[in-house]
Amino acid sequence: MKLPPGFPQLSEPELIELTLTSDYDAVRSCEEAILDGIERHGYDDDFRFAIKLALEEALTNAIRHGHANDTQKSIQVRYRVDAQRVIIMVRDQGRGFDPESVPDPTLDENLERPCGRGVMLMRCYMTSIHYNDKGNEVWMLKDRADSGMP
Amino acid sequence: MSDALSEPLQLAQETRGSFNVARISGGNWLSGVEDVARQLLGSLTESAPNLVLDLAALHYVNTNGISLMLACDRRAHDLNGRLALVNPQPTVLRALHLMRVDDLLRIYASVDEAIEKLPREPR
Repeated sequence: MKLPPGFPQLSEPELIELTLTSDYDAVRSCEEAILDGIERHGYDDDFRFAIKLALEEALTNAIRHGHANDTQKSIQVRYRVDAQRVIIMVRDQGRGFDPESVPDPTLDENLERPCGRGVMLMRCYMTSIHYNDKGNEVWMLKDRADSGMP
Repeated sequence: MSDALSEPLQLAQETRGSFNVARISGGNWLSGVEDVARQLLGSLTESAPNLVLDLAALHYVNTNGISLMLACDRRAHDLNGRLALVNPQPTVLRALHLMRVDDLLRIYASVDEAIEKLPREPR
């Protein structure tokens, strides 16, 4: 398996794979599994906040935008939590999107529009994020050395 | 703090004159948000068009929470009222700041300060 540029290269067995139904109960289960791993490795509460936020935004985008709330679709998650970093991949079955086309939610004219906040928060709280060309798969990396808060 | 990030959202509300004061706690913005939204938006009326949202016990926020705050602000404006946020925790404040919510909404240190100062703030 080839991870995006800037990500450590891992073999497939080093990543835990989950297939989720496209609903919020599944999101919570996935979140608990990853946050448990973070707690086991002694990451602090700010780091936990950051991972929870980025993960929820990625999974919520998959459900709402990727799948248009179709609960028959599924979401694939791969992740690894170790002492140095957390890596998470979220892939939906949607058509994808161009993350560069998402409006900047912090521009004056967009402040009250709902678009783009999730992607921006993911970028702010993670050390690195990378979308595939289709835009239906996002890889997120947060290094332990990267303090929890942006 | 760890478990608090995922505690169910809870809302306690009271009315002080034209101000609705709501204290929101917890951090699970994946479920129960519709109920919280219905209660907050429903509390805003022509006779009580202002909302003071006490965030002191809110341990976590995501875009669902941010969207709800902005929806409350729009509803309050429609009724010639205002929304004020009170005492957000640093982690929550940081997320609000990144989205420039603090440019749109007034943030105060206490409910009493919000009730005293909000009516004098320019719209």
